[in-house]
Parts: sequence; structure tokens; C-alpha cells
Amino acid sequence: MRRFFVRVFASDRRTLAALQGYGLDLFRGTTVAARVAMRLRAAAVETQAVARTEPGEGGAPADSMGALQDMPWIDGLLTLEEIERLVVDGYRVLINEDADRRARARTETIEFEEWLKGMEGD
Amino acid sequence: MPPTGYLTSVGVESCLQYLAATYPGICQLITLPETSIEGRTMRAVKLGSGGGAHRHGLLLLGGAHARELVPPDALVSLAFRLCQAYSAGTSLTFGGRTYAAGTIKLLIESLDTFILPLVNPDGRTFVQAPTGDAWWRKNRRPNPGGCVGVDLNRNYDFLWSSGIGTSASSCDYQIFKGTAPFSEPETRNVRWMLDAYPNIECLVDVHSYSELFLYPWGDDDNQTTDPSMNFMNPAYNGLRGTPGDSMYREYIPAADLNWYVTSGGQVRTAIAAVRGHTYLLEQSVGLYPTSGTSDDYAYSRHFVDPSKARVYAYTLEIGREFQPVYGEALQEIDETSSGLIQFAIQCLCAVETTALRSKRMVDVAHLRTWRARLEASVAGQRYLALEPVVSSALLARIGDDEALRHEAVGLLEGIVEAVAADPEAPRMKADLVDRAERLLERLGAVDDPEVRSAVKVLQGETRHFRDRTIPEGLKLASRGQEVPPTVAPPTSRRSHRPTDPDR
Repeated sequence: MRRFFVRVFASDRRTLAALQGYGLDLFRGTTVAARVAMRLRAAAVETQAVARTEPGEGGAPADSMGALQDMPWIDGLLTLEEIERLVVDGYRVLINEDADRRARARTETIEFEEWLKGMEGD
Repeated sequence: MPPTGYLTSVGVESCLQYLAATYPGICQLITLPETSIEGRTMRAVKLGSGGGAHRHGLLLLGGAHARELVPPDALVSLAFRLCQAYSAGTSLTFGGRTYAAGTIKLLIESLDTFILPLVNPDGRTFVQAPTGDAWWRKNRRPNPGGCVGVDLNRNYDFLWSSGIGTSASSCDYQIFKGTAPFSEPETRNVRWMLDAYPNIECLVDVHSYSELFLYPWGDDDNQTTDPSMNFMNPAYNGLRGTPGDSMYREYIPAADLNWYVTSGGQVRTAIAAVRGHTYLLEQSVGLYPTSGTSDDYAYSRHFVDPSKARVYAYTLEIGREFQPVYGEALQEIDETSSGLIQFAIQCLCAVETTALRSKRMVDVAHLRTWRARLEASVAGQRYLALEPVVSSALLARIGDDEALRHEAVGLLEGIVEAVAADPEAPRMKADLVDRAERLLERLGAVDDPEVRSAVKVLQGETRHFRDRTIPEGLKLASRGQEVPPTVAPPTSRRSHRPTDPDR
């Protein structure tokens, strides 16, 4: 089954938290960065500064995704069916890449002897 | 040419055996009491030479989540480089960060570093198998009903029954917490490490990804003012797990929070020095709270049972992908190594380590008493808040800089003498203060602005103590000053105490 690395945007924190009930493969660690970005943005708004939030690796470009930069997010690994379900439920999903293109567990593996040669020669 | 690919589970195991066989004087192989679910032997190594009653211990964990390929490679690479550098008497350089040969020597000879690089060997084997799943996260427990796996980092005994950020469904692809806390042999092995080596006072569980350095707690927002609002208090059951609300926030002693933030900042700087990636240092709760994680469990043990060590535990989330191309993985391994060596320095106590460098027997027991008394004064709290920065600067240089070591040892011996002569009101003679000033001057001559700033504060304070007793000096230095509300004194780093005044 094909899976995709995605970033899921929710309208608010409560809606983002509700994603926990879907049983999806979501990476909770990425919400720490999201929370910090939200905090910084809130502080910037408070001081009337022009806020500029950088999306993370593979994230939504601010110019093309507009208001997404104001929304809490979480990264995950989802099938097309799961993505469709989220979109129907009101989430916005940015597809970053086909998971197969990032899978290196089988293709970039070496035995210890080769590893040792590399470490000793490094 | 450096390694070109990820090690297999067998490769990680071979590496540990190789290190123990090649460097028997400093690397000891530890076979953990239980095999993994699929029967694989699990091993760790202990790096260190020499003994002594006050050796601190650091535990490094990796590979709990199978698809996160870099952390086990990073930990065995770190072990390899530490052994190699110590034996050859050479420095270690990671991008823009160098640790001097003397620093490596000091770490090996003063600290027990335990490395358990692969907590989930079955999972990694499955991820790397041709018929496996490259994105598998859990262990390989066959659950009733046919679904496989338990999320090992939701299986520890910290608010396990709360269900916060976990799933009770064995078919959950990601966060099934198991049938009971420590239901899995892999997590029981980690618990065994903490029980079997009670000098472990620092821990980092290395994961990927997100470029984060996270400190407790993970179940809810932190607070430092109400000790009764804590994870052990059943009155708050059902109220935890909603960050941002006012119903519940998890208590963390202010002194601990200060240590986490200050020491974490040093680690973040050490990582950024490698190639400019600045990790976020944050409380782990994020927008999704959790329970049953390794860092919260390790840190919570002391609160549940004060006879156990207080373990300062972090989670390090390295890199920007689970399985980057290996060239990128090598960069992440360098960042991880740099950060973890800096953390090892943070885990050493500068006073005890300096005492070991003295040719005389220096008993620092009296100084521990004085440390507690410093906490009672405003100025003392200010000094102790600067301690992680000044201490790590001293430890990073004491191994190589003979003049600095001479000043540090001389100062320590003089202070110990003064305290022994009058334990209640030790007098700081002028020559002792002169020595302190010389030491600070040497310490301040570094590029690091944080160190320079801390040293400058202390340089402005020495005059209060010249030819006065410590209580007189503290009184003078504290006059008209308030304690900053968010910074409190670090408590004693030695945590084998019968009672904990913080709780």
C-alpha cells in the first residue's frame, strides 16, 4: 500500500488534538516545533510586528498555502485513503513525498566489517 | 572513506563486541538480563576507567523506534570514537566543534558512560528485511488477535494507566502502550540498567526526527510553584493531558528546570557548532501530550522513591528524516556526537572532578553542606544558577590546560581547608580570593559569550568575600537583591538523599 509523507494542518489546537483519535501514523515530535512557531507568531502579532513563519523541511510554502502558516500542524505517514478521510473531515493535507522514495532501510545497509573499515579509515 | 551505509542489528551487536575486545581497559560489555521478544540477546557497553565512590553515570539509549535508523549508528560511532581517541590520546572534531584530548581523557576517567544503542533489535531487523516494513516503529510482540508490536516508548511506568497520548488497541500502528507498564522485555532491560547502576544520573534517549532537544514533562505543561500538583497525586487523575488549559500543570522543581534549560542550552550550542543547525530546546509536551515515555520515567523515579537517583533525562530528536541518505546521516552522527559529549561534560560535577586532580586527599563532603547553604541566600542562588555554564567551561579545559588545572586545584584545596578550619564561617583569605580571580580570568578568556558573561558576573562579586567569612560575603552580595522569579538554585547534583525538600 502506497504511503506518503504529509503535513496535516488543523484549524486550531483542539482539532489537531482530535487527530489522536484517528489511529494514524502521526509524528508527535513535530508538534513541538509547531507549538514553538505558534508561540513566536502570537508574540509577533502581539507586538504588531510582521510575523514570518518558516515551514519545516518539506513544509507548505507560505506563498502558495496562504493561511496555512497560521494553523497548527503535525507531520505523518498516510495512505491516500487516510488523506482523503482527513480532507473530508476538514483538515488540510500537504503531500510532501512518496514514502518509497525516502525508504533506505534496505538499500543503504552495510555489514560490520565494512563499517569498521570506514571508521578506521575516516 | 567513512562508512557508506546503516548497520544491521547484527552489525550493531558486532560493534559492541569489537569495542569490548579491542579496548578492554575502558570498554566493558554488559549483557542485559532478558532477550528481546524474538530471542535476540541485548547488550550495552560501559565506557570508563578507574573507580571511586562519587563517579557519575550517564546512560545513552537509541533504536527504540525501529524505523529511526540513525540513532543506533550514532551511538556506536560515538563509542568507537571515544575509545579510539582516548587510547590514542587525540582530540575529537565534529565539523566546527573540537573536544580536546584532555577532555576525552577526563570523561573516560571521571564518568561512567553506559551506551545501549539498540533497544529494539527485532524492530530494526524487520525494518531492514526484504519482506519487512521500512516504516515499522514498534517492537515485534505478537499480540492476541493477530496484530503485532508495542510502542516501547509508551511502555514505561510513567502515568501509563492514564492513557495520555497512547493507544490501548494492539492494532494501533504507532502508539500501542502494551498490556501493562514494562510488559516488554526491551523496556524491562532499560529499567534494569537504571536499577543495576544507581550512579546513573543523566540519560538521553536518542530518536529521530525534528531537530529537538526535549526535557520533561511530556504529559502536560510544567509549573514550578505547586509541588502537590504532580503525577503521583490521584486528586488530579483525569485532569492531565491538555496543554494550554489551567486545570493541571505538572510540577517540576525550579532548580531542576533551571538545570535542564541551562545544560540543554550548552548541548544545543555544541550541536549547532557542527554545521549550523540550531535544535529547539523545549519541554517535550508539544501539542500532543504523552505518557509512558523513557525520559519521564527515568526522571520520575526519584520522586516516586527518593532513595533512587535523580536522573536528568532528555529526548534528543535528531535530523530531518527517519532514513536520510547516508551522507546526511554522517552529518547527523557528528551533530549527535558533539551534543552528547557536551552533555557528558554537563553531567560531571566540576568540584568532584577537580578534587580527583589534586595530589592531596580532598574531601568535598563539607562543600556539599555548603552548597545547600548557598541555596538559602539570594547571591548564592545567583552563583548556583551560573554553575552549569562555568562548570562545563572548566571541565572542558581542565584536562589540557595545566595552568588552569593548577589554579582550580589550588582554589579547591584552599576552600576545603578554610571550611575544615571553621565549618560554620569559613574565612576567605586574600590569597584565596586572588586565586579565584586568576582562575576566573583564565576561564573568561574564551570565545563563548555565555561563558564570558557568567564569568563577568562572578568577577564582580569576589570583592565581597575578600578577608571575610562566606556568610558575611553572601550577606553583602545579597544586599538589596531579589531572586529572579524564574531562576532558582540548582539543588545538589548528588541525589542519593533520604528526603527531597523539593516535594
